[in-house]
Amino acid sequence: MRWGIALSNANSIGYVPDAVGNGQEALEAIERVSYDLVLMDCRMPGMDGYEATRQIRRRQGLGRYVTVVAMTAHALPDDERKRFDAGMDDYLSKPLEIEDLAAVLDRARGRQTSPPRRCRPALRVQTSGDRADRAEEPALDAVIMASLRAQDGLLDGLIETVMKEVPQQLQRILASLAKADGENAAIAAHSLKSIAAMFGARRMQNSAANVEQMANVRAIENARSEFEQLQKECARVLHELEMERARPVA
Amino acid sequence: MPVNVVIIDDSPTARHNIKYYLVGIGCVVAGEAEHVVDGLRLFRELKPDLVTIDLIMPKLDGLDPLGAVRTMKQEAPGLAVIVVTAVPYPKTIASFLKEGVLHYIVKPISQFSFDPAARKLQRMFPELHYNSVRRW
Repeated sequence: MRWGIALSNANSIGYVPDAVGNGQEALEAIERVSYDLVLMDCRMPGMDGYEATRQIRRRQGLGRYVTVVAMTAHALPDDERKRFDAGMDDYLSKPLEIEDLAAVLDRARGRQTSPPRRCRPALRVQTSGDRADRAEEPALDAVIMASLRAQDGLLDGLIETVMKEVPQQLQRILASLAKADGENAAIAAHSLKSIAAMFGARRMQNSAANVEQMANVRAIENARSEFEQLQKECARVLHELEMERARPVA
Repeated sequence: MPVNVVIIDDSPTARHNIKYYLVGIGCVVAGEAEHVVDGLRLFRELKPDLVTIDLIMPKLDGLDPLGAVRTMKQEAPGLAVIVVTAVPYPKTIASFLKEGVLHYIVKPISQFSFDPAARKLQRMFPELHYNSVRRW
C-alpha cells in the first residue's frame, strides 16, 4: 500500500494523518474535517487527484486554505502545468523519501497563517467570524519588515509602487471576473500574492492564492466571494504600509 | 562597459524590486516590459547583456516565457537570463536551466535569494561589484 508509506513517514515526523482511497473519499473527508494539508496521489481509480484538487479549490469558498501536495511518479513539465492548473501547491516524487516529505511539510507550514497542529482538530467550520477574531493581528511580518528597512533606499520606493499597483490589480481581477475571464483574474491575483509575500502579509497572500486557484479552475462565483475578503486584506496591508511610510527614521 | 538589463515582469512592484538588486551591483536597466512580446521586442532593439523574466504573465500571441527564452538564447547565445518567478516547481526550474538560463530565483526576491545570482553575474561580468552588495 503506497499511501501506507506516506502515512507512517508523516506520523514519524509529528503529523497525524488520515487516509482515504480515492478523490471522492478525499472530498468527503475534507468536508468533515479541517485539514492543514492533503497528500494527493495524482492517479487513482474513480476521481483522480487533479479533479479532486479542482473540486477542493471550487468548494473552498471562504474557508481556510488547504495545502494540496501531489504525490506522483510523473515528473514531466506538462504534468507540472497540470498540477499547477488544478491548484496543487507542491509535489513529492515517488518513491517517497522522508526528507522530501519533511521539506514539503515545512514549506506548507510557511503558507499557513496559523502554526501547524500536531493533532488534527475536531470538525470545525470556518466562518467569517473566525477571520474577524484575527483582524487585530498585524498584517505585515515584523521580521521581514525589519529586514526591508535595513536595506538602504529600498522600502520607500517599494511602498510607493505597491500603493499604485494593488488597487490596479484588484480592479483587474474585478473586471476579469465580470467577464468570466478566469485566466487574467488568476494572473492579477498571482501578482497580489507575490506582493504580499514580499512583506510577509500572510492573510493577503492566502486570500490572493485562493482567488488565483479558484479563477484558475474557472470557479468564478467562488472567486468573486473570496475577492471581497482579498479587498479587505489588501486594505489592511496598504494601511500598515502607509503607517510605515509615516514612521520616523530610526 | 555597462551591463545592460531588460526586465520582463507584469508587476511594477516586482520590477522595482528586481531593479533595486541589479542596480545595487552595478547593472544598468535599459528597458522594462510588461509581457513577453514587448520583452522580446526590447531584447532585439536594446541588445541587453542580461534579461530577467517572470513566468506568470498575460499570454500574448501564444508566446510563453520558455519559448521566449529559447528564442533569445538562439539569437544571442551569450545572453545571461535570470528567471524571477513565484513558481517553485523543480521540474520547471530544470526545464529553464536546460535552456541555459544563468539562475532561477523563486519570489519574493530578497538579499538572500539574489545573492547566488549576483555571484554568478559577477563571474560573468567582472565589472559588476558583487562584494559591495548591501547586507543587513
